[in-house]
Amino acid sequence: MNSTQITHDNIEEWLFEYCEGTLTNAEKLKVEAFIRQNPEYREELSFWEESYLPQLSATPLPPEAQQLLKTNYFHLKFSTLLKCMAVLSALSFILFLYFKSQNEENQNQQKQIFKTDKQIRQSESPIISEKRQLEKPTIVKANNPKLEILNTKKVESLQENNLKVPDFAVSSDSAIFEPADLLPILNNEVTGEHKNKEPVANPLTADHTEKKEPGKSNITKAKLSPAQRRKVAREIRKAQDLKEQEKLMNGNKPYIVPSDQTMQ
Amino acid sequence: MKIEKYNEAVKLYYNRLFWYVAKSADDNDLAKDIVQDCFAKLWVERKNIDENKIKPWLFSVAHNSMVNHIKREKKSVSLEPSGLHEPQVPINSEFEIKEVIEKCLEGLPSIQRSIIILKDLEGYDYKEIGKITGLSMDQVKVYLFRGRQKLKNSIKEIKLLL
Repeated sequence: MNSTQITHDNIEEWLFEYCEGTLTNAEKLKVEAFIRQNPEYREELSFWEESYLPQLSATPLPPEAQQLLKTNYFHLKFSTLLKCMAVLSALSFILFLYFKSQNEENQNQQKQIFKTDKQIRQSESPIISEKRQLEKPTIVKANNPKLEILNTKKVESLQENNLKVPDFAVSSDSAIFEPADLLPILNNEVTGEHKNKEPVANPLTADHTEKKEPGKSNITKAKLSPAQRRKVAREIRKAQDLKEQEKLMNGNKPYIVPSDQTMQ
Repeated sequence: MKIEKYNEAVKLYYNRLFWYVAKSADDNDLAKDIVQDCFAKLWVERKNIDENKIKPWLFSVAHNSMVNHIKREKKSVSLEPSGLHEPQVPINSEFEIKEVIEKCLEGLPSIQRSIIILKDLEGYDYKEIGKITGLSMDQVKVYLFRGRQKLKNSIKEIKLLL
């Protein structure tokens, strides 16, 4: 605004500034006073006010604008990706350990089941049953001059293994024969040592044999061929091994009903 | 600038930018092309643009594109004020002041139209308009006065006729 006075020449500029809102309060009052003095400019002021553009109404976006919109797409930051990878790897490692432990447990259980089955099968094998029969007290007829050993499976097994019953000499007054007592004697026979000495006590049946009086042994040595002696020794060793296995089994021994003959 | 901000800018400023270019250049097809080009540039330059200055950036790019296009096409429309183009306003019973103003606006030179649109519709002050159009504040004020005076005279003539 060049001049501070409102005149008919510069009234247009004053009205423009008045509508633009750039005047001070004093200048506004001055314009309003001039319009009051000159009412013909009141209409001019209204034309100035109407020259302002009306606000645009909200219109929907045209199709070409819709094409400009960008759709969200999945793009991870590298750090986020690394975190996800770490979490996933940790989870997979935990799962791997879990399934591995499960497999080991299953394998152990299967092994135990297999072992138990094997032990049961072993316990039911003829050797086991034979060994059991060996452990049972064998009744020998005392009044038989031929020293027959009767009703014992041990005798039967010996016969099956080509061992003759008469090879064993049984005293006439003996009533009970325990096969474990045979072991030290046969050991001596196999090794050929201490033939004239008393038989060495079997460590497995040491307690039992100590209770007996050595002088009253009912068994007298029969003459056996070396092959037979070795066979008997093998059998006895087998019996020893089985006994050890049975000890290890600790209660897994199946119950075997004693035969009628032994009950007599 | 994030994708959400870009989409928000499209929704907020597409119609305004189109209206600005269409009225300033008096060419709807050109306005569509220029606005599309503006938003394409915005997406490309999104990392270099301040989120709070998207709107002036868009109007500035649109204005420059429009001026360059007009210069290229060597249109008869001059950027300098070259006298009043008398508007052809239809006078009928369903006369509305909005239509009159729009018709009167078509008769103004491009630079005056641009400044009036930026001032009235977008609410920019003289300084911001100067940044967008590349003019000084005094130039903006002069062009605005001349353009609005022409609009006022057109409205006055029409009203007096009625």
